Amino acid sequence: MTPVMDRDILIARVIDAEASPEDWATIRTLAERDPSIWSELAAAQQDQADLAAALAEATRIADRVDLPRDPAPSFVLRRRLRVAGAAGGWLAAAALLLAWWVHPGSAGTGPERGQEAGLVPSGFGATADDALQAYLDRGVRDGRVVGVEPDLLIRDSRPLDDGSGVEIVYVRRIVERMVVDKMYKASLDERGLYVPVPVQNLPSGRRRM
Amino acid sequence: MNQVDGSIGEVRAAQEGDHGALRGLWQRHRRWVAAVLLAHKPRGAELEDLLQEVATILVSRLSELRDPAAFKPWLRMVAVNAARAQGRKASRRRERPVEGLEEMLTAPEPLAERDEAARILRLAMQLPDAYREPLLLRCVHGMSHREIGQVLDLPETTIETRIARGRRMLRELAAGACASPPVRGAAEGEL
Repeated sequence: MTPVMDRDILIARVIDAEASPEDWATIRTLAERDPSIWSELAAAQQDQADLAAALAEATRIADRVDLPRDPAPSFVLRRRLRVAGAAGGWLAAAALLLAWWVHPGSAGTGPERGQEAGLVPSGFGATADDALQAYLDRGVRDGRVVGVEPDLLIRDSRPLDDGSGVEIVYVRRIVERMVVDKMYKASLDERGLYVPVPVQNLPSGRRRM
Repeated sequence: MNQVDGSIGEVRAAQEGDHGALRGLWQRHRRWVAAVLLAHKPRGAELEDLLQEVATILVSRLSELRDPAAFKPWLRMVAVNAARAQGRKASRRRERPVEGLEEMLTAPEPLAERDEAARILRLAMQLPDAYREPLLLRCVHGMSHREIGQVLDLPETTIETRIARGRRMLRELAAGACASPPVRGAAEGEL
């Protein structure tokens, strides 16, 4: 440990009220040769007090941030709006805001919530949302559905002609898995037609399909 | 219980779906998580947004933590990654300007300019990473060197040295003694 480091650590220990009798004795010895250590100590204490006060103020907001009840939807809304604004234009962000304003409890359920789906098989609920949720629940139980990506991919957005809102077109990403005997890839034959070709020696790990 | 204490049993309970345990973990750790985010977040990023992101990841990913004893360094890495990801996004947005975005990114922090405490915090943000983070953590409800060492996964002696060294750098910055601010990211004179 260098003499400079000794001095730093001694001062730090005094500030933290952790200086031992030996530390104090060393400080007094140092001060006999160089009294400036006292002013240095005072400045360090002031800096520490100021820093602690500023940090307490800056991090106080943490006490207001609670865990999300549902991590996917409304909790990350502000953040998603910002991302949407940067990536897809502020119009898309406004569209998302509108969608969530109308349906705050649903992650990207879209404006169709509450409308009759009409062609939904029995047992899957009355609306598209109900049917989707039934699918997800069943898929999770069966091991097919792994999860749902929380962020929607916004493809398009436009204000409605009658001024009643904004239409957004988005992709909902559902992660699924399945077990297959073989994997094939599409390949062109000599006639320029796509034919399935078995994939040999498939390495383990993530594959883009 | 101290601000940063958290038993392995509590982490396990949270992993197994005990919402009370999970909520307790977050409430005890969120202040120092905020300090870590503050130490790493890009200028202009909102601390509240980043805290929400960390909270979301805590809920959705805690079950993936294999060793409950590594909860604190894991949570710290979640926070650091969230802050860095925000930095990358901010960088990409700067490459493709959006109206009003530059003002948002360069907006001053909420602390008043005239406040001496705010000035010291701003100076502390100029310290190298290796000194800035332990120094800020030391200010969070008096976290001990041991507790900071657990979070940063470093020996206590290293933590003590970095805090002492960081304080001296801060004094020099505050006094204007440094001709140029230290380079962020480097650690010097370490035990």
